[in-house]
Amino acid sequence: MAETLYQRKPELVAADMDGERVMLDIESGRYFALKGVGGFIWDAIEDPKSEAAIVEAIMEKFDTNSAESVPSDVAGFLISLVSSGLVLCHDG
Amino acid sequence: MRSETGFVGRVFDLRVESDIDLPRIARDPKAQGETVTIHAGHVPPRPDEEVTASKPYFAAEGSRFWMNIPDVARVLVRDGTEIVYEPEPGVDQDTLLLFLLGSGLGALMIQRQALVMHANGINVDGRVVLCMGPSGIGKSTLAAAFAQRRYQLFADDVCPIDPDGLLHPGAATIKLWDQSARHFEIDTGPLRRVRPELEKFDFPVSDVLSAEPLPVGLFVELAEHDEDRFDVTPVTGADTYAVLRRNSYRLEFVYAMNLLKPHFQACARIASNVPVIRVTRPKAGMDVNGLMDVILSEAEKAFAKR
Repeated sequence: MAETLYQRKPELVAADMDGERVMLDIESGRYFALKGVGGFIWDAIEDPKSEAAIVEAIMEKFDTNSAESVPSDVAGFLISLVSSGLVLCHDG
Repeated sequence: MRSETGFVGRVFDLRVESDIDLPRIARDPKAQGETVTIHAGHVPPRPDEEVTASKPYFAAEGSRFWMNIPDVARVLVRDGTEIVYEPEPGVDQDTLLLFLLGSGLGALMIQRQALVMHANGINVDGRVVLCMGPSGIGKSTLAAAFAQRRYQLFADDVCPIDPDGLLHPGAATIKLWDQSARHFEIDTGPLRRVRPELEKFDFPVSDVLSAEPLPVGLFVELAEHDEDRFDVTPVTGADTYAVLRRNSYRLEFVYAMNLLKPHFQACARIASNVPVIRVTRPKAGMDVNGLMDVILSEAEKAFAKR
């Protein structure tokens, strides 16, 4: 079964500033910043990844005491990245 | 208007050859560095644009950049090495120079992919403190106050930072509003007027001429509030980019030249090496000495960490 894969939009330029990922969309001139888990997810989707793989990577990396909310948080976050035009999603 | 032998001088890290005298630039026939020429010539409007003489306009195509400044000149800045101007009839030389050495030279430095900041640069113990902020916030008054305390003014208005984080000395004068001049009891009579209709004057800063390039040590964004105190806030993360971006010299030129990506990368590079702070002063009154003391104390702290 095909699953949805998420990947950074390749045309974005990104830089690390004091631990925050700052991304610039050359086309629009708009810029965005991610920190903490958001920055971690950003790093993780340099190559295409499924939502499940992202959730798994977060569980491994972070001590989370609200593990049950991670999948829905990740899902919501990915939707916002896609709707901001920062991330592409396609079927793997 | 034309200089008979041709003017040769140095600005930033460049040798400038010009057919017009450049009083704000250090005359130096032996100037080293890559040569930039400034000369009169025909500047055709871009063929695909509807340009009328009364409409201010700029546009870029490849390595060429056009500006139309109504009643002053049309200007073409090319390849980061050449500024061609076609003056409008009747324009006076001071007005023309203001644009050639402001927007024209700024556009040229952007083409050369310097990170060009809109700031005053002050030499504080061998590093440059760049004071930035919206017009009216007190940059020029502050620069004049630093000069009065014998600090060296390093660059005024157009501050191009090279990829190594170095600032090269700029024009040999700072622009000073008449009000600031009065504040310091400088007699503006003998000073050359920047533009006849503007009450802003050039203030010679001669000791800057021989200075070597210096590293940028601190970015200071000036702001104001209704409180009766100075606040100092460190700027970090994405805010650093926001501050450097909004204080960039003519960011719209960077956009037009399609250089937003190298500009972003230059901001990220300098932000990883040089601290950025915001200094907020009381809106009422301008305690320039108080402001200067706050900045000097922050500079001392920032430099001690490095």
